[in-house]
Amino acid sequence: MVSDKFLQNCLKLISFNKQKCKDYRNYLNSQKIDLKKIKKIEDLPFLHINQFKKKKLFSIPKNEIFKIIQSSGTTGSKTSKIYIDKKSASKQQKILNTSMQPITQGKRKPMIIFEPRLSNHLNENSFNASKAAVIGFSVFGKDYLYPRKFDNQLNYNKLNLFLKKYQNLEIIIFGFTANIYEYLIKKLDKKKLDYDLSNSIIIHGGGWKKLSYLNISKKKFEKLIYDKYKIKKIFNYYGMVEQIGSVFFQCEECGYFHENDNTKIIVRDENLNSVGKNKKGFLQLVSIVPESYPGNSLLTEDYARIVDVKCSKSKKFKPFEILGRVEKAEIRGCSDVG
Amino acid sequence: MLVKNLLSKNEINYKNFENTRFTPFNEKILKTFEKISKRILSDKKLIEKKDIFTFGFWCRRKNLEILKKRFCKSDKIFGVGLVFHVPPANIPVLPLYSLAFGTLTGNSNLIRIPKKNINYLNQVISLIYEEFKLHNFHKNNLFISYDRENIISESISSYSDVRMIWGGDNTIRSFKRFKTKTSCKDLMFGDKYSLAILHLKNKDKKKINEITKNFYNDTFIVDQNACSSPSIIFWYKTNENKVSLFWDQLNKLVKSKYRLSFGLSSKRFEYLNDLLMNYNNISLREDKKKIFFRIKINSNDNLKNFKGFAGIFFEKKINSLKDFNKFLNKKMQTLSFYGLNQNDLIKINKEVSKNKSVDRIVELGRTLEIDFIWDGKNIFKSLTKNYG
Repeated sequence: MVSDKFLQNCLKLISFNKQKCKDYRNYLNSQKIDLKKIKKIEDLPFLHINQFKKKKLFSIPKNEIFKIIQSSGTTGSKTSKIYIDKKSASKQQKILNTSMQPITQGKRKPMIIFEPRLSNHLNENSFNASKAAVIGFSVFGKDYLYPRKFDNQLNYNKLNLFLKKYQNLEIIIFGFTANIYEYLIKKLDKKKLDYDLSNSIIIHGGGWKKLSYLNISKKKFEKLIYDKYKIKKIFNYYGMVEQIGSVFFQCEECGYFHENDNTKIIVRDENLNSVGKNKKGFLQLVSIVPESYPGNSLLTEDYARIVDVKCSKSKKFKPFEILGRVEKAEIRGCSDVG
Repeated sequence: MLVKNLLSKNEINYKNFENTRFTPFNEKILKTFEKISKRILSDKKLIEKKDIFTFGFWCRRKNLEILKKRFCKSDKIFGVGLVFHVPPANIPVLPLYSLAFGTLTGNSNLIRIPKKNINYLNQVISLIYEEFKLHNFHKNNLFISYDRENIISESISSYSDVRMIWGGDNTIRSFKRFKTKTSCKDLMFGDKYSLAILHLKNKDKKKINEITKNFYNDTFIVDQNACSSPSIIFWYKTNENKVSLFWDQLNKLVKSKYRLSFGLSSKRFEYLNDLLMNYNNISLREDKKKIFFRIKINSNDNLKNFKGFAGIFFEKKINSLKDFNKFLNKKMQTLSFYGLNQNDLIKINKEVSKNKSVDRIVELGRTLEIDFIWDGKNIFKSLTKNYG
């Protein structure tokens, strides 16, 4: 059950954004939406996530923009731009900390990051998704190793030195799913490591698109890691720049994602009606995290399914899985030659 | 492989490619299409595809004789030579009409098939190929496809006598950059959109089934994305009751017949977001039971941007046709109508010609019918030469 308080908080943020963001106001007004009449989260207005690729949507004065985060985006497509002020940035980080608590027990750990090394990031206010994720997650680390060299080979010297230094400690291995596959599963030659990695936690996210081409499921991915390194603690996360902060972690008990206190989910069919358990549909995210831009209720292009499993969390927080990205539509009509 | 996949521009040796011109509507070509029509209409698998069925019906001998009478008024007319056809993205059946236009007027034809339609058209193309072969037409008519857009399109453009580019605006722009023969004629059909004027009276309540079915055929069959599918519906002297009856009935029909994929649904919702965010003179009608969107137009601004898509309809009530001109613009292609009398049509025709808007006026249910006159252009004339 979604509490009344959650709905009220959402409505408050939506009204705020309506007041401050002209395009969003126009969007709601064209639908004649009366926010006072909304009694459940399914009735909240929602925005198509691609609007952030087309419009500069924010609800803060320009001089308060602290950073602009861009989605990674597939080649050739436009990227989303999300405008964050200082207050939102710290709110996001706080929420991320809370959701990481069960995984890290609140302790900073040595961290191996399979993403490109960040350079001078503090001087810029424009971030891409990878950078934003690394920065967000890096607060859980206390010493960082970027084992990828510029030529994308691995630096075994540094890896071994790092592993020697922390041989008795739990290490966090972090990276986008595709990079964990590319470097940890495929490229890394285990024989060149002096220490084993079995006592590590892997945190990975950012989509399965590349891997689904290779026909690698989540299960197979985890098995490949276990077979090679005997690592058991593997956490997939799901999140997007349009709602940074509302990151979902795979549940240790049931293996699925769960809603949380800050973000609820709705699954909608082709006609945009909300559907119940076991039905595939568009994922809608409703979150009280975004403040500086109208991103509280978004219809994504990801497929999801509310699953029917029971674990200690499932009663309070709907469990769900992500089933990939919506296919590009074949469109009939007199548009351009395909 | 009946659609030839071109990897380089040299694969068509146009000098060997028999570039012959014939008399339009000659007996051989009429017989060929008569046979094609019969074979399509008796093929159970083919006529399941409604658009191919319609094409089969269109190229019946009887209809072609009517066209011959209408257009071919002299025996000194010949085809102009080689026609390069670039059909629109995704009206999959259009290449067949384009080919028919080209061959019936006595030309040689290169017809580009969009890659993703090859599968869909394969069976009908092989049938056409077999019939063409019987009279050696296969030598001067070729279905082609290719990826290397610019190089091959540019090369074919350089020796074509006519180019038929069916749009949209972006394709036309890129084709305009290619060099052509000085005598080359271009038939280019840019992005347009369409409207309908509906006048429902009490007696029409009984006919609501048929009326909505016609409307459905004009719109949902092509995801409401053909230039001639109505986007804006003008309700002429029609009360709310009957308007609701129409939409309710359409909703039932769409529910039972139309399959909206997730991909299309997402695209449609994204487009709806664009509209609602960008224009402040429209309002979305909230109706959770409907599986399409109705948008009320509150003022006459931005009208030329109100194109529908996959079930997005703009509506406006009007009580007089006298000042209909304020709604017209040059992007409008087809005006379809229901329930108008002769006087109404005369009035509309006057407004339309005064404003150089709207290229054709047809009854509801016939917007997707294609003719030698299209977008106000005479295709027959452009594809023939008169030597008399």
